[in-house]
Amino acid sequence: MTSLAVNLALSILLPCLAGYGCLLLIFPKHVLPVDMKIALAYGLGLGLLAFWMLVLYICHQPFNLLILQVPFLAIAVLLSFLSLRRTPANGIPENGLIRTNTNTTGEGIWKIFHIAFVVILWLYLAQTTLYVFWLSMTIPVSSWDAVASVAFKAKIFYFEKIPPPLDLLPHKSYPLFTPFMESWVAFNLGQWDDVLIKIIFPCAFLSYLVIHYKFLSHFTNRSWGLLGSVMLLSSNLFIIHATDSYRDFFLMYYNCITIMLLLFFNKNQISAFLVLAGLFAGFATFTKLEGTAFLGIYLVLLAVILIQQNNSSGKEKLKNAAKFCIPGIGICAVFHIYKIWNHILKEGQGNIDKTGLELTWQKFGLIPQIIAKFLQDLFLSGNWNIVWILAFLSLVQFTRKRKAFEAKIIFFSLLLFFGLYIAVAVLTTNYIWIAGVQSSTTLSRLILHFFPLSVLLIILLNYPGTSRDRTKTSSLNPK
Amino acid sequence: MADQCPNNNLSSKPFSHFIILILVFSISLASYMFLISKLFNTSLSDLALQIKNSLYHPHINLCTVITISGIHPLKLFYGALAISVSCSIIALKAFHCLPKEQQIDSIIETVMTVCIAGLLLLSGIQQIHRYDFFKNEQNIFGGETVEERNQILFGRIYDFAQTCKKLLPGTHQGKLMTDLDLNNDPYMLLHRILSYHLYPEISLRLDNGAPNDTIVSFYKHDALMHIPENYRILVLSKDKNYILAIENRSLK
Repeated sequence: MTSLAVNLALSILLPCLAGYGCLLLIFPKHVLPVDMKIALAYGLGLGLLAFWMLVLYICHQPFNLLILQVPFLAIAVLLSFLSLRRTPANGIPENGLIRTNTNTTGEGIWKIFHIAFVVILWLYLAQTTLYVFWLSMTIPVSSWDAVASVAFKAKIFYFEKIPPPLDLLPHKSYPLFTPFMESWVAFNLGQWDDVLIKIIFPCAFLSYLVIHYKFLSHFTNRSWGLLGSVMLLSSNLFIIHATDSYRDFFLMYYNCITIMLLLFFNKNQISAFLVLAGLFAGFATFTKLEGTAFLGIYLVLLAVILIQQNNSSGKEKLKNAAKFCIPGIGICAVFHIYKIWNHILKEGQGNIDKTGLELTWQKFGLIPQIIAKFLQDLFLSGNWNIVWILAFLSLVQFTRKRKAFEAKIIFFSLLLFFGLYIAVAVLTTNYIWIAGVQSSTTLSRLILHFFPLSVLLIILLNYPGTSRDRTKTSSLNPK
Repeated sequence: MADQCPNNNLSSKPFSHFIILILVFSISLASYMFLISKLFNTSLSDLALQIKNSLYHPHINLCTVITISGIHPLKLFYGALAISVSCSIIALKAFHCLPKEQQIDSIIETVMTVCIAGLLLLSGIQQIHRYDFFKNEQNIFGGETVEERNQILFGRIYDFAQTCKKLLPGTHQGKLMTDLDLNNDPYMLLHRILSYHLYPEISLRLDNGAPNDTIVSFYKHDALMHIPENYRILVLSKDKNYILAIENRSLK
C-alpha cells in the first residue's frame, strides 16, 4: 500500500520536476512566484512527457518505466543545474513580477465582514478541492469515453509489449495525450488500477485552480481572485470532469492557460510567456481534435496583441510570433504528419467522421436552432450555475466604462470559440453532436473547453480597478 | 505595479447602503420563496429541500437537474434574482442611495452585486447537495476494493469478465456473438464495458496478434447452437446470456 502511494506520487512528481526545470530555463529569474511555477510545471511536465511518448510511439519503441522515467529525471537535474547558473534579468524585482495584488479591507465592521467573507470562500475552495480528489480516487473508470476510448487505449499502451499502430486502435484519429498519461501512471504503479490512473485529473484541477487564482489576483486583487475561483468551482460540470477519465478537462486546461499566458505576455512584455503559451497550445492540439482548431484562435489573439503593441518594432513582433508559433505549430504538426503518413485522417463515415465537411445551403438555416441549443445549455442546464448569465450581464460594463484590454481579449476569444463551434456545426458532419440528437452528450463538454474564460470576463469587467478612465462612478463605489 | 488598488477601498462605501442591500435581498428572496411554496401547495421548508435536491445530479458526462413541480429550478432562481434586483434598486432609490448623476452606474453595480450574491447563495445550496452525494457514494463505495467497486458499478458484466480472466490462461483474441444492436446505446456501452474489462486476457476490439481462439457470447438467442463443435465452454451463466468458449486445441 505504501509503495503504491509512493509510486503514485512519483508519477506526478517526476513530470512536475522536469516541468519545473524547463520553467527555470525558459523564464528569467523572479518572474514567476513559486506556487505558480509549480502549477505550470505540472502542465508543462505532462505535456513534455506526452510528447516524448509520442516520439517513442512513432519510432515503434516499447513503453517501459526506464525509457519513460530516465529522460525526465535527467531533464529535471540538468535544467535545474543550468538554471542555477543564470543571473536575474534586468528590471525584474526580486519579489517577483507576477504578484498578487493585495486589497484594502477597510476598518471596523467592514474589516470583520471582509475577513469572514474571505474565510467562507476559502473553506468552500478547500472543501470542493477535497471533494474532487475524493471522488476521483473513489469511483473507478466507468464513463462512456473512458471505457470505450481513453482508458481503454491507456490499457492497451500499458499491456501490449509494443504499442499497436494507430490504425488498429479504436478512434484511431484521436490525439493520444490522455491515454498516454493514464498509461504513464500505470507504468509507475507497476499494475493497472481503474481508480489510481485518474490521479492526473484532480492534479490538473488543482494546478488550474492555482493559475486561475494567480491570474485574477494579478490583474485584480486577492479578494476578486478568490471570488473568481469560487465562481469557477460553482460549475458542476467543471467538478465532474475533474474527476472523470475524459479528454475535455485537459483541453480546457491547456486552452485557457494558453490564453492567460498570452495576456501575461501582453502585460509584462516577457517573451518567455509566449514560448510557454506556444508549448501549451501545442499540447492542446495533442489532447483533442478541437485543439488543432483552437490554434487558429490563438494565432488571431496573438496577432491582435502584437498589432496593438506600439512599443515594439516589426522585427521584434515577428520574433515574438515565432516564439509562439514554432512550439505550438511544431507539436501540432508532428502528430498530424504522422497520421497523414499512415493514411489516418478520417475516423469513419458520416457522423462518425468528426472532420468531414458537409457543405449545403440548407444547413445555414439551422443557425437559429444551433444558437438556441447553446443558449439552453448555457442558461438552463445543471452544468454552469448562473455563471453565464452573469457573464452576459457583465457585458453591459463595456458600454459604461473603458475596460482593460485583457477583458476585451477574453470577450473576443469567447466570441471566437462560439463562432468556431457554430461554424463546425454548420459546415461539417458534427451538427448531430453539437445541436442534433446527440448534442446532450457533447455540447456541454464543448462549452467546458472555454468555460473558465467566462469567469475571468466577469471578474475583469466587474472589478472596479480595471477601468482606465473612471469618468462615471456609482454611489456604491464613489471616487 | 500597484500593490494596492485604491478604487476598491471598502471603507469608502457607505455601510448603510450595504445593509439595505442585504436586507432587501434577503426579504425579497424569502417572500418569493413563500409565494412559490403557496403556488406549489407545499411548505417553505419542503420547497427549500426540493430546491437543494434538484441541483447537482451527475449523469454520464454532464450534470442534470430535477424539476420542481415540473419547473426547471434555474427558471425559479432567475425569477428570484429578477425580483431581488428590482426590489434592491427600488429600495436604494427610496433611501436616496442612487444620486441622479451616478444612477445608471449604481443600478448596474446593484444588479451585479445581487447576481453575484445569488450565485454564491446557489453555490452554497449546491454544496450541501454535493455533500449529500458524497455521503451517499461513501456509503456505497467506502472501504471497498477496486474490484468490489467495479462489481457495484457494472454488476454481472464485470463478474463475467473476471470469471473469464481467472479461467483463461495467457492472452487471447475473441469473437463476440450477440443479438444486441451494438451500434446504439445502451448496448454499445455494454459492449465497450465488456471489452474493457475482458482486456488484456481477451481482446475483443484490438487485433494484438494473440491467438484468435475464443468466443464470447453475450445475450445471444440459442447461443449454444452457434458455438462450433471444436470449442469447449468454460463459462456458462444459468440464463445462458453469458458464455465463454475456447477452441479445444488451445486447451492442450
